[in-house]
Amino acid sequence: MKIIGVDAATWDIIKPHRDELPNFSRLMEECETKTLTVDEKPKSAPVWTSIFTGLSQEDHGHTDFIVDEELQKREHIDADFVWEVIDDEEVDQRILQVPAVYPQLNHNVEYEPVGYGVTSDLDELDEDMEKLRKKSVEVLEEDPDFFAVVFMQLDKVSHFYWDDEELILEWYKKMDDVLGDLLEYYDFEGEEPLIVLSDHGFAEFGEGRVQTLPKESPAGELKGDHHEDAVLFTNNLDYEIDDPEDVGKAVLDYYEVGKR
Amino acid sequence: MTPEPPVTQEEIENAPLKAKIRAGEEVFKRAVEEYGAENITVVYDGDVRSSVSLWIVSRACERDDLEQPEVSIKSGEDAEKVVEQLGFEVTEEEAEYRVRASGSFSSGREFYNHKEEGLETDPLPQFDAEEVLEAFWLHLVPDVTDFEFDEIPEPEEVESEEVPLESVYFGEGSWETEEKGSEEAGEVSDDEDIKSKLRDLGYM
Repeated sequence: MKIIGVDAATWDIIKPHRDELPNFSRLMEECETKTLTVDEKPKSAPVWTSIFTGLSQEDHGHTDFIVDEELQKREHIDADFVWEVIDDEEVDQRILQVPAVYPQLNHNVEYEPVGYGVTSDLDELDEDMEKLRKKSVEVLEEDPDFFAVVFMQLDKVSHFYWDDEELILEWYKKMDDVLGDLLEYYDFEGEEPLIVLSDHGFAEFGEGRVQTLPKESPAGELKGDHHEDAVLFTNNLDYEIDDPEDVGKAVLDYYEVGKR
Repeated sequence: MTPEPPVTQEEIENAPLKAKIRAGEEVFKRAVEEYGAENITVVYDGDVRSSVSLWIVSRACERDDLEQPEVSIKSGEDAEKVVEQLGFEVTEEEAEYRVRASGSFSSGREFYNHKEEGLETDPLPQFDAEEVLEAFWLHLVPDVTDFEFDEIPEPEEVESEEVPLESVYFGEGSWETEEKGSEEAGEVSDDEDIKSKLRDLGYM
């Protein structure tokens, strides 16, 4: 199974620019697509936690990267991530950069993002994306049974440059190109399940159901905010995804965790 | 092309912390010998790895009697205080060659980056998050041609009081010469750096 996370990817950019995003376009053609509406808070830390634990935010209780002035770490989350309950002896699983907490979570892969993966600097974001692309390809070359990676760069660019349509599109094109490299390792004609998804969409301030970040930050004015409508592409997945936690449930179902 | 690392991964991993510090000093010394201190600016961005880099540059200058380069401050709370505490002059202009004492550095980047208007040096790259000085060895030494592992002279003693930086720049833990101690301090300071960066982006 392969899961590719694209934090903050939104239909509002992908659909109108489909012609310029050949790999997103291919996913639209070859996969089942839907809008995954996040009914709970559309914040990255809790949503990615739901996606990779199979639990709702209410059940896992993780709410943000910083809680009560404390940087949240893996040990603060009272829930099992899917890779922790899947047996490493039976499934060769490689997990890269799941942003449930910072530093992001990896499993069976050694990796460090550029600048901790937390920046609004475009050069650093570019380096970060390229480094993660390279590492992902390196891991995929080894053909693991279960591969998951999350790219966060579109989220950071969207927060600070949402009003610059040209720049936003340029970064979606970069992400599209990364997707192309990763999908080289996926056989659309085969039987392997594929999930490509975001944890939330993106929009101007006020368009989303809830505001997730302030308009002003020390790094500058934020130009947009999360929207509850995320994107979802699935292929060969025998599990209905209606909520983020269904992704984790689908992974556990596929590897028959708890059934044996 | 980045030159082949002159040492094995095992040697890198097993090198004592003092040797890594010594290697960092050696790298900077070679940059000064090649370009001249007057043509080099150290770019300081305020985070813990940047502070450690600058400290190593200051050690190199003192040890080898090198002229101190000027420091350009990119960002960082109390940055000027830290830079001056280490005995450097602050400048607002960057020289032709830049030593980037910064956490943001791709391990795949070449030691020397050719630019249209000259040569940019980045000899002080990203430190490993889990051990503050690990990447000094990992990223620097393999980029220095003709550098042999056994060329590293016996390093000087590194005592905690020799680190002229306030504890905040190393998190709550104190600086220790034992690797375990520096690792713990490194993790704490990494957390502080991450929190600071998240707050910059609006996460409270």
